Amino acid sequence: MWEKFKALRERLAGLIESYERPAVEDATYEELFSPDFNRSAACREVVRRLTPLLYQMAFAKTGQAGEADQLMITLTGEIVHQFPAGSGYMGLQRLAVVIRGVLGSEAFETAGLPRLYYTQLPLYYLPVGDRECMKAALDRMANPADQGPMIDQGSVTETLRRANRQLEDAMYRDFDTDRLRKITEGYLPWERRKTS
Amino acid sequence: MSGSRAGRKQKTLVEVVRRESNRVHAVCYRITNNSDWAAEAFQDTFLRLARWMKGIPAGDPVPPPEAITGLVQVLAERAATDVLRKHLRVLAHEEITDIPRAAQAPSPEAALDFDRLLERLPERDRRIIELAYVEGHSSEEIGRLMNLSPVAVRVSKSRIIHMLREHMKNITADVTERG
Repeated sequence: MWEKFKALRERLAGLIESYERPAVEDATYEELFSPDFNRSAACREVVRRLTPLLYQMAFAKTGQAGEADQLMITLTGEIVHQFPAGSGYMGLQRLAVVIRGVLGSEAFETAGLPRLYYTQLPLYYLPVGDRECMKAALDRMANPADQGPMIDQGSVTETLRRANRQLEDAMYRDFDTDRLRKITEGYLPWERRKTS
Repeated sequence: MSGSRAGRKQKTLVEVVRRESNRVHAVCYRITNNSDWAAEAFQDTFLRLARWMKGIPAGDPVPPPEAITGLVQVLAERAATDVLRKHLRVLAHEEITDIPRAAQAPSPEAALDFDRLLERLPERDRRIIELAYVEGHSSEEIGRLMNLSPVAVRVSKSRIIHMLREHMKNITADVTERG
């Protein structure tokens, strides 16, 4: 088996890697935290994705927009400084330690936010359109004051329903459930909905 | 009427071949990096195009040559990828059967350990490795075969390879120290 593996790996490595390396905005968190990605690009992308959620946590701590802005600057600096390296799977959990260190556990645990935070893991297993819609909805949940642009509610509802199903599929089919529980501090997966 | 329509399709096809052949060949060669395989993919591209044109419903107009440039590009990429995959599978098979065991294995102990490690992998992981590196399937194909999303396959492959590589590094270090 070693011979097969070595010969094929060498022959196919360049081909596979050139075809399958995802663009930074499509990469899963496991991939972003892995050493294969350019560290500064990965860090920028993680900060971009998490900013709405982190802002809500910062606002929960300070209660004032100006102070939340200041705290966000500190938090972003810490994330850039301590961007986790090593096993990609534990990246979000290690980042959570950094966030708790700056904001405190109470702000991090604000109603439902840790679950939204860890939902980022399966979220990037969804197809691009559904993922964007779902991400916008989750960010809106994190910041209910932001109503966003006027959009067609019917198609959004339908897309969200589909995205929710796919999110459940990703959690139960694409991840090992026990490992998912371990790498998300027990916040995921939630109970599977019964299909009628 | 239908004769004239068939004539228009034929004329369009000839024009597309005239206009696009250089670009199609370049695309095929860039992907396959082999002139024989590129020639095979080149022919396949225009066969696919001819089949596509034949399938245009009777009521629909025959598109002008300049309107199907994008389609030709896509067909060329697909044909070249298919040809490449087909030949790599054959080569991989030849390579597996031709490799003398002793010449390739890092050491008998390491190879044995590697085999054991593969056996210890969860069924799903082992299947992914076999489909990807022995049978040469893409992540999309493996996803369809195993009812997983392509992203899950991509991430699993990368995780397993990383784990195997680390393990083999440790084994090699152990053997070197002892040796």
